[in-house]
Amino acid sequence: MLLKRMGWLLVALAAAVAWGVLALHRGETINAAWLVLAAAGSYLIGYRFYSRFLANRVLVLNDRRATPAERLANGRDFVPTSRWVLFGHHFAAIAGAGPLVGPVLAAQFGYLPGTIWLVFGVILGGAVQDFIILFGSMRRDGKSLGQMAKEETGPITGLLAMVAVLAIMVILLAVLALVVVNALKDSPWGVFTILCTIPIAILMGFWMKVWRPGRTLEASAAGVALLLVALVGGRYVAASATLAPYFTYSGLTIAYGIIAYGFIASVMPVWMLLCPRDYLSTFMKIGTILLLALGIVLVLPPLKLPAVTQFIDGTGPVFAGKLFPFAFITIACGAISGFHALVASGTTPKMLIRETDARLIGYGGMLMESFVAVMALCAAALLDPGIYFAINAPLTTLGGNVHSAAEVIRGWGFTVTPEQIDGLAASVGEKSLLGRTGGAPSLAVGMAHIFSSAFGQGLMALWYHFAIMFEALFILTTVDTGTRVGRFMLQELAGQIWRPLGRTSWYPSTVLASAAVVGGWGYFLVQGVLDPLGGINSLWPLFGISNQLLASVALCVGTTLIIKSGKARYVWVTLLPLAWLLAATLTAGWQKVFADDPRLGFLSHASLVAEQVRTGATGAAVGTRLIFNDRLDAVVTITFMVITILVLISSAREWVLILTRRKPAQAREAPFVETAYAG
Amino acid sequence: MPGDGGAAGQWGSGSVVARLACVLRQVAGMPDYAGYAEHLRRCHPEASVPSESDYYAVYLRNRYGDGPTRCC
Repeated sequence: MLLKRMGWLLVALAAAVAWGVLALHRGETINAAWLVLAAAGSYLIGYRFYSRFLANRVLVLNDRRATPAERLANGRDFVPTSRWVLFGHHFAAIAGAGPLVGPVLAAQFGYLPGTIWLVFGVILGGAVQDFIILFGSMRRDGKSLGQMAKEETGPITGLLAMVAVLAIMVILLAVLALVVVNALKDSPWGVFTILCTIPIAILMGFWMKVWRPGRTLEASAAGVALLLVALVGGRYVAASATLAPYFTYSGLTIAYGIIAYGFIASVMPVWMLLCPRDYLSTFMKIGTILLLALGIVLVLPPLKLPAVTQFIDGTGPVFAGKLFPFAFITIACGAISGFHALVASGTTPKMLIRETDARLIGYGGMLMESFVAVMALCAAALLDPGIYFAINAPLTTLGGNVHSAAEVIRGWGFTVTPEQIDGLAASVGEKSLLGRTGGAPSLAVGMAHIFSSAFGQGLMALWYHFAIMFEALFILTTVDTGTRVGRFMLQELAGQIWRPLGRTSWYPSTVLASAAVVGGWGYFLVQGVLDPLGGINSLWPLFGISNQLLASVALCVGTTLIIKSGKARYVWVTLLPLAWLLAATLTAGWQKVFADDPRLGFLSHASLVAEQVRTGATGAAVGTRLIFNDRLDAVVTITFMVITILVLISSAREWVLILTRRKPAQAREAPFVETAYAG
Repeated sequence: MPGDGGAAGQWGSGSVVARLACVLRQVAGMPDYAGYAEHLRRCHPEASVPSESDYYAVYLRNRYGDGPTRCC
């Protein structure tokens, strides 16, 4: 007992010392070990103490109570699953591109703000949200967030939540596709490898369905092997003067390619393309993340990015806006992500064997995702700051060639020579790395550094393209599964207006709804590719705002659940993160729409373009399009804000009614059934 | 035909490889026909066990039919 306490004291001390070193360090570089230690130590303390408090006091998990997996076991979706396996399953479902891209973009503020937000945001916010929603869904036979919102707060809240989810999906898919476009433009190696994933997936699909039914693992192993062959093959394609031009495309062409792919994938039978790609990307994701963790621990690279850069004043080249509120919406996944509430109320609650497992899987799973985000931040921060900005600032800012770029970056106070930028591009097998905004390429360079130092010098180019392939593969998997989910949601909504549209088996309705969803994110994607400020500047904040507002909706639902279960005295566990999130996100939303700085505010940018059209600096056709897009982005942002405020108001009304005893505190949980499991 | 590494997997049940395969399949959310057939035999002995391809079709509908299963 005493020994155990001493152990926890040591963990706490180690974390505190590491934070101290991070905060007080003055010098050129700092070792990534301090960052990893501070994060891991804090997670352990948060898990051991805060999540135990949540489990025992607030939610009161009860192992005598049979879970849906036990009561409703059907061998298909309700399957009792052992807790570490389910942990892996849940983690694979929540960890996507978000925690990799966000921290890399936010690294323009330096490594410290992102680390602090990732670690404390997850312990007090993100992991709490995931845990409570998982718990709520588990007590309600695996109901979705939308259904819970509807049952606990009312039908209008439920409908609003559904519309919000659909809108977020559209923005999410657009911005993730933009990340892929920026990674693959003018990169024959990358394009070849990613194109190969399509026939490989189709081959796997036939393998699993037609040739050797049920041999899913066998097919996946073959798929991964073929993928690695394609990766190596890409090098020869890129080096060949005859083949390379067939795989070299502009950003716009790649964008239209992804749009066409998204449409086809969403109307094709799932077994042929979507499901095999899903498996492939799951295994690649888990494998690469383990490899990254191992690499960072083995190499412990020095971080060259400053703790805090001058760009906290809002003048940053990657995206506009000050540290508050923009660090807190740029890093969404990894600290707190509303999207998780959808997964935590999806398949996972139907698989828990014991109620207490929800703590490890809901809270612990999110801590793990945050750790992935911290590793991504390390991978970006180990780059020379000059290189980081050369890759991540938009081409228009950098002036289009390495000489102008080096000049511009020197102006920001970071030294980098044109030869360094060119040399790095050559070493990873690319013609240019300039202006590849979006996080994927700089993360890939960082990962290639780590992998080649840990597992083999001289393979830099191969590791770089491995990292690009891994990111593009699972982003495109999100794009095709997301389009499909969006299509179902749209059909469900449309079915309330005209019944036949809601039939998912009616082909015209399927094609129509798919086209509408693809058209939606495709429009924003093309807008992003053509954006003179580099689309990430407008689309990533839009995504961050929407994701954080969904998290606010989830925290509102979580608060309602806590109050209804008679635990109103603990309501601060969700209200505190909710208050912070609303403050940051609504401020960011307001600034994105109304700020006077045309780099930041959509409306002031629209007036700037109007002025340029008047003076003839911008063509009328281009100007009209830019102005329309700015106004559209402004409307979308305001819509998100209004929906969230409406959900907040209707939830708060419910809270007041219950707390003033005008309404009984009655949660709609499934009735208690004693478990049949022993012990 | 049995699935790989399921209850009656190609490597024989109980071996390390079979158990590892089982974990991998569960983590990736792959179909488990053998497990489902076993569930039916145990809990619903009166019900007929669907063919593997019928089971696969239902599995795909469940997995991709409603709600997001993947995150950003």
